[in-house]
Amino acid sequence: MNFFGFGSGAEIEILLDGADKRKKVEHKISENKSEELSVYYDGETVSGAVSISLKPGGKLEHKGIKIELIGQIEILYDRANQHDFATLTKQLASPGILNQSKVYAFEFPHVEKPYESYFGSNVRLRYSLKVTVGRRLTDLNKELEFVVHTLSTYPDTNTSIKMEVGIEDCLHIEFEYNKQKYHLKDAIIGKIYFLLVRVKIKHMEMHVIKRETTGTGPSVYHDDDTVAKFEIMDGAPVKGESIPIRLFLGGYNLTPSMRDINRKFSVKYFLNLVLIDEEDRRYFKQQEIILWRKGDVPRRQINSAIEESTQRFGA
Amino acid sequence: MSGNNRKRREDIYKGPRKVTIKKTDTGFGFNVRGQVSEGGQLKSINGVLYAPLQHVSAILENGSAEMAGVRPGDRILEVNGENVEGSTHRQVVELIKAGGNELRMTVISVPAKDAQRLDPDDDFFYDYDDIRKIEIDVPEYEHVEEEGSKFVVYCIHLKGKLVMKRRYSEFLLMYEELMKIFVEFDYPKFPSKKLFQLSEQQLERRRSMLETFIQETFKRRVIQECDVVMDFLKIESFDNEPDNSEPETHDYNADEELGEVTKPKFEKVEKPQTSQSKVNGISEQVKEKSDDIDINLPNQSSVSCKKHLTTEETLKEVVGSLDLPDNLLPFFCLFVRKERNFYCRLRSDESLAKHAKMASSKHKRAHFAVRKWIFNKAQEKALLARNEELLILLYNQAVSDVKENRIQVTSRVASQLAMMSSMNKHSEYLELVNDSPTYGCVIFPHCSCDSRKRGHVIVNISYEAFKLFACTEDGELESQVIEFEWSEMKDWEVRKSTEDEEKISFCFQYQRGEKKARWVKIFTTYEDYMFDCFSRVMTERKWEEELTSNPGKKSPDNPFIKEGITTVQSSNDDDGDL
Repeated sequence: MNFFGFGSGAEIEILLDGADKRKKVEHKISENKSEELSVYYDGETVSGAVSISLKPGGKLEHKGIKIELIGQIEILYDRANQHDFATLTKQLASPGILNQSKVYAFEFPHVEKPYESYFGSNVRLRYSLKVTVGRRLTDLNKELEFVVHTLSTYPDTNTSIKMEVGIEDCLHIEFEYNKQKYHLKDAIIGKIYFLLVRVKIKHMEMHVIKRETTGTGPSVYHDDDTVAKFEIMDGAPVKGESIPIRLFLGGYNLTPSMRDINRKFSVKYFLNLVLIDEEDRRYFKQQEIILWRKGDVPRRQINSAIEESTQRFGA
Repeated sequence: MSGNNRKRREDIYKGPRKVTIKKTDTGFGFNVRGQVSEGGQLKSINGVLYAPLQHVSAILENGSAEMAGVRPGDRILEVNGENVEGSTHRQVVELIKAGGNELRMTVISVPAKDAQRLDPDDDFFYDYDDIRKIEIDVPEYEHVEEEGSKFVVYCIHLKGKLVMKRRYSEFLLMYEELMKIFVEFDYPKFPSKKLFQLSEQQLERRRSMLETFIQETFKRRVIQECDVVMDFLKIESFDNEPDNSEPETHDYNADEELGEVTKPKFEKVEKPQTSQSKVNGISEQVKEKSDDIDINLPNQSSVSCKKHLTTEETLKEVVGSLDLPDNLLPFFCLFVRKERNFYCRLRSDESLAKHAKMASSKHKRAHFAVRKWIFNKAQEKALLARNEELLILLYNQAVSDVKENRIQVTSRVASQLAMMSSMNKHSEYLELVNDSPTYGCVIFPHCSCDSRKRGHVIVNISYEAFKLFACTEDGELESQVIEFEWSEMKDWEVRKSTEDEEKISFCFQYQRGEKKARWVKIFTTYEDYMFDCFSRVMTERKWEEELTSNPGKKSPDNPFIKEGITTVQSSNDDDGDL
């Protein structure tokens, strides 16, 4: 992987502090590859060390060594449009010559990470640490990506979604989902109640659709992807019949809903209720739901936080 | 952790801290603002993740909260022992109320930049009524030439000092950016784009509209603090430096809204200020701690007078400096500038100090001026022929009136006037401007009237007639005009508010032919001035009548002269020269 042309013989490695204790997740870094990356949250300090190893007897002349923390949004179809919403730089070494392997420590304190890492079909949002060793002809680079999760908290009981929809004289149903906001490991509990059935229904399905919207104004582009699909009813229902819904979200690869991220893209989730009749006609009702990531950050004790801060800042 | 040995007091504000506030007769002395819904994304404050928090949006000066060490922008973590992370606005308010007269809170301060990040703009509405007064105006514009192209820039002044010059397209861009962020705000009228080059008059109109626009818009705190505005004015913040340019300190009025924010305690050292502002081409020197006020004279200079004098005394002093002969005294009066380009006459017993104080409470400076007080144009001409000093005074006033649209002229006439002005052809200028239908008229700002159920009227008083122009409630002219002849007027008065009448109004009674006499009520804020103008016209008509009917024996307080007579010899011949 460290393929440097013309045998410079220098190997750069980025190590994160506390990497073994930190949570890791499997995250897509390219179309076919996933990697296990460390997870960071908003406000956390990103620190670690950069180690530059030289072959015994080798030397490295450079114009300066720096490390950058970059947060970027990449929109694939739009001229490979790349937008950096966060760039922090730390100078590790001023121009000079390295005669032996060296380790440089770095720290980016309390970094603001407002958005969650996202790997989508048309847009990607990623955070990475990039080390650059400046040289006369070509710079040496090394990049380490890490994942940012945004956590939210919502009360357990939020209003349910309940609606009556249908087609005049053919089909009337009332559907209900227990919540509007679901966390990623939640379960959608609900029911479908048939008020009027005058068509011959073959079966009913529930789809979870992810809609990725990129661009603003005139050039808005939606990309719909059916993330989950399952059958909730097989056979013809009759009037007065009630069909339960129990959909466990934990089994699917979902991200939190993202709204107008940096005014560049949105990710929304919809529950699509589809009824298929004997003639293969489809009747559907789409309903947006909000997905959020539950923090496994323990409920903080305010008192201890105050004590800690007074100690730290010495009132 | 790394030892942070600096013991600056600010550091304890980096973490949460506890405060106890006792209710006083001004309440707790702070406002709470925050999301309506419950829960939300966790965001970090100084490295620690918190759910969305309600915050302190305003602090009452010297109130209980301020004394307890609460600062505006502080996030609320606990209320009376209960954790309120992610709470709805109502929940926090209820908890505060439930505590009765005592309130224990845990708060954490955030720097202003973080405060913007922490409040997403989708869960609650911006509080546009949260006003933080700033002294901003656009007193003038300049023609510039840069790299071959010519354009106009408008000078933006903050607290009397020039901060930025921007051209119209930049204002427009700023407005469009603001509209994207503050979507639901009711913006004041923004001057429209024009395809062709603008005349001086149009430029003045545009300057005035831009000034009103930014004064009305930028006074809202949320708009003030946004990046678009800061970038537009190229300032870091609206420093709450104590205002040295105003001689009067701002009287703290107990009736003012609690929304007033105090000046932050930790701030840079104030620099001493002397400011100079240019208004209407007449430069005023602003003095510190004086009780003088400046009055603009029609000879383009200004004079300083003691504030505590009455109008009559001041006028005598001021007119003396103009070197006017005594017979011209009755034709000049002291006016104070109100609203957009509207001068209101001061009565002889009025005190100037009152107006100076009113203006300074709005962080503005009162503009006083000496202007003519005569409606009869023929008489004006007669006096002009006799007194040369009058020419330059009337000319200057006319120029200023044309420039600020008090006299409306067609663009053709405007360009002719501009030409005459540049060649200093004073009498030709006056002759031409005299032909304009709005010369010698007093046009009042639009107001409501009892004869119109909806919409407003613009009152136009001139020697020829009393006119009511119909207009919308925003002042946009409509097609209807009603003219009253002075001979139809029977009575007029000012009615103060009583139990039956809710508002103060100026009323007049007219009678047309054999029909019944009718009263009309005009609900204007300038009821006294309207009354004075009305009375003046009637008086001048009386004087003129006296002259024509009884040329030899006119009453002693009739200042009118008969044209063509150089000696005061009685003659019973009818000259017919008026």
